Amino acid sequence: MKRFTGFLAKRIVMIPVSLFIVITLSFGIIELLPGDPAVAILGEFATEESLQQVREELELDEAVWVRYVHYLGRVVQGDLGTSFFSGREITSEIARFLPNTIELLVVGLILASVIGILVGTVGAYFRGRLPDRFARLTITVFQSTPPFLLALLLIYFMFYLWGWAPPPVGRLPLTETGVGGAGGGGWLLFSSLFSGNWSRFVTVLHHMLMPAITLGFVYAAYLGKTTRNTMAQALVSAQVEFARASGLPERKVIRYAFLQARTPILTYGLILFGALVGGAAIVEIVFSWRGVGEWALRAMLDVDAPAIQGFIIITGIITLTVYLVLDLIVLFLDPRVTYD
Amino acid sequence: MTDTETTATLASPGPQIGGLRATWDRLRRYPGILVGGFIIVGLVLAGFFAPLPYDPIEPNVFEILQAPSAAHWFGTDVIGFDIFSRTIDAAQRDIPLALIGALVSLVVGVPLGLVASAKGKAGERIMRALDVFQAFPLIVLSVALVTVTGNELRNVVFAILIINVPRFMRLVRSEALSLRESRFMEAAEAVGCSRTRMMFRHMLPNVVGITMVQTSLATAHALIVIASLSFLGIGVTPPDASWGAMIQAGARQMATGEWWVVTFPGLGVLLAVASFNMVADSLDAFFDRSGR
Amino acid sequence: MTAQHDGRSAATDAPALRVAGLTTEFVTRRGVVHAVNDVSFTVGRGDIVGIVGESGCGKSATVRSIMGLIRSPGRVVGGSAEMGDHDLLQLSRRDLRKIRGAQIGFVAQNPFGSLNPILNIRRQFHNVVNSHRSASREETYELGLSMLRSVGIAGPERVLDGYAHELSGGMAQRVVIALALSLDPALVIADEPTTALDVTVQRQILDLISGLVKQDDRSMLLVTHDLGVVAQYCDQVVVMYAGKVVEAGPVAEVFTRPLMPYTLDLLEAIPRRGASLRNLRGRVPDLINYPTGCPYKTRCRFAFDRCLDEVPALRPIGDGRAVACHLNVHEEVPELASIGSG
Repeated sequence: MKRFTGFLAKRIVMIPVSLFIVITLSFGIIELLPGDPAVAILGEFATEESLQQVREELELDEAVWVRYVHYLGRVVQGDLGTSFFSGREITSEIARFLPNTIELLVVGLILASVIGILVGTVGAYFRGRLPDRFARLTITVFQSTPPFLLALLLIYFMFYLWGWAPPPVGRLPLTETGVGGAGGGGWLLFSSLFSGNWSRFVTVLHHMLMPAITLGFVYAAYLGKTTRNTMAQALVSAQVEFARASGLPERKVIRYAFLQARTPILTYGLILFGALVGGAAIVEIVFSWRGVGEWALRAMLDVDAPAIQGFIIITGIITLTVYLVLDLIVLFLDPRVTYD
Repeated sequence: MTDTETTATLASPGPQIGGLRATWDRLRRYPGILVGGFIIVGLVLAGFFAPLPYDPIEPNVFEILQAPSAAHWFGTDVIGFDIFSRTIDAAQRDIPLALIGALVSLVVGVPLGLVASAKGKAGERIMRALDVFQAFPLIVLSVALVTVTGNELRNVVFAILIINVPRFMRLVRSEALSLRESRFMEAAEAVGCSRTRMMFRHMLPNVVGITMVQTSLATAHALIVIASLSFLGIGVTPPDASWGAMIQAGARQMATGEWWVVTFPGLGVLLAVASFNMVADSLDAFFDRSGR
Repeated sequence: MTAQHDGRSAATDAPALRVAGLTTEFVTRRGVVHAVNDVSFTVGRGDIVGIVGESGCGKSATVRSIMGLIRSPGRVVGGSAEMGDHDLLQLSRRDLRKIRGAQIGFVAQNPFGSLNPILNIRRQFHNVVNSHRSASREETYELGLSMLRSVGIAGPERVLDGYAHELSGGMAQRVVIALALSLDPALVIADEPTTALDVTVQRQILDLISGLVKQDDRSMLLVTHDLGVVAQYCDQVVVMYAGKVVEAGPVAEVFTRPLMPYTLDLLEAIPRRGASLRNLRGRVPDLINYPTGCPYKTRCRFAFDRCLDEVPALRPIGDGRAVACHLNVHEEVPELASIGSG
């Protein structure tokens, strides 16, 4: 237990420092963007008068450090500003889009882990033999598939041809969200799961089917490759040989190997999770998912400075959280690890 | 008794540079390199020189969304483009761009990786900065980069760079660190090999192998990045054919059953990416890094 | 100290292990590696048999073949390894698994490599015992305690609840020995059990393991590259070169009167006071393009034309000794004959 408290104490001290760096970074990047933000907001045909008014609102005439201090002050209070384009608060935009992405990633990556670990373990166990060749071929094919292509193929087969999946219109049927899908977002899956609303849970999961399979298969390939390599190493380790020499059944021997291999696999999976908040943008677009990735892409294309800043900050927070959780889990799983 | 052990480890773990004949004989045992290379070269040559049945940038508005037939082997899309002509034509744009992106990444990434492998704090700091940088979703970053530098095909190279340069840096750094520590380098030094001789005779064969593998992987990845960006309408100017843009053009039709618009350019990407991955895989075995 | 002889190794008893014609190869892209070639030897009941040779001579592959631990791309292509009524090489994987650990205890080179770093020691005892018979946690805990005491670990309770990385090298190897002996195997196979340890504890571990083997009338196959260890702890010795047995016999005989030039070279390579150190010339032969004739011919100072293309068979020469060499030793080579007196 002492390992945990010591580690947590050290980590919690570091969090504000890391956050400060992230916030500073988000400010600096926007400062470096070319062009006049006022023009970006109002368009090229705005009058000089209205442009000047916006510039004053944005404090563009102030010195950089003054704006930086003001920015810091606002962000610390939880005010990330309002979008140049939608006019909505950035915090409420994040609250709208982030849950959609997180729920999709949780389901998609659970699927990816199950398939990837299975395929990778089979490949490693039968290394160089037929099942391994099959595993490697599968991994190569899915690694070579752009996610959006797989997504579109799924739409053709699972929706159009076989009718297993609902149309790719977002998280809920159009009858509930209305055309354009303005409603329908948030913690739909988790809230229905924890409140025991099963029919709702099934509906939400059903709409998640195709995007989750897309992410699941593509990233199963990456996880499968990692699993195959780490398990192959673990399976020829002296430890596994000793387990075998002690007469442990193969099932247990594989489990021993997995105990050794699981830390790198887990690390890879969690880092993947962090990277896919935003990184799954194209899949989100294909399925009208209204996730953060889609939102961030739009912000980038529109040069919507407050949204970009908000996205950088949220990415930073998620990355920090992922690494913290990762370290905690590893600390829990591996008795050798101490963070001194 | 230990005397023989030392002799054994003195031998460089890398492949010996032999004659052309010997190299060819060895190469034949790794069909992935030849098959993959053949497909890639074939695609590029076809893209540049193959006679196409239709003009790839001239739509026929009277023949839209036609299913594959004798007249249109891969069918036509919603504007009336011939998909076969465009799928082949796209190869001359997408594959060379990916190769250039990967090679530029190599040229930029290797020296940076060597700098980062320098002993002391500086190297550590560079890698830490790289961690922070890579935590940001790269697809979003590359979209931003192309938006800022101008929506042109050649600026897609920047997107490929930011994704692949860190990979080259990591690889080169870890290889350089482990080579420096390796016993055969120590031994070569002890025996009195000159530095240049050491670099060329021992380090180079090792480095060439992993660099070729990584370049091939980087090209495969660059193809996916190019396809992703052009799927989002970034990089290619509209009538020009690019696999990603073609897939985007047919995306809606997948829900209404006109599968061919997406599927054929999709197969184009898949084939090209899989070929580069296959080449990388076989090269890895060819240079025998795992010692099997 | 010279090798001990006692009545338990008498010929009336069936041997603990009889290996005959064992052949193992590894299929690689470069070709087939002939790692173990027609290896035969016997481990008498109650005997400690040492297998010696340079690294890469196939001694580890030999014991791994016997235990069925050779994995793809390696395979045992021929021979037999009889233990009691069974030929280990013919057993199904299920049956062989039941023998491993229960009738053959295995001690490997590096204890930290052998022990599971994630599970505590107590759990590892439980898993090993439960692979052979069902036992409750309390039962395996008690067994673990007594086993750890028997390998000389003070405070076994603390060790059982701890993890491998908390132990010193010597302690960890004691734990491995305790695990290997926990099901009371008749045969112990130890593969360089002290190579990875500090010089200071090597002797303690060898004393411990040989003591435990002798005390309970077990047999042991001890793989080592250290002739000193063989001289001190073994009754019989098997000298291997390039995957072949080149000489075998009682330690006292073989070490005082070696018959194969390779054995002689090995003995002379041991640093001794007052004698100039002599290294082995050349390197071990390529096991893919296996040489014709005697594998030692290129390094042998007594090689003559017959050695070049005729493979010397391992032939028994009485006194329980066997040698694979064309030299008719005592007549043709005075140096070999004289080594016994020196």
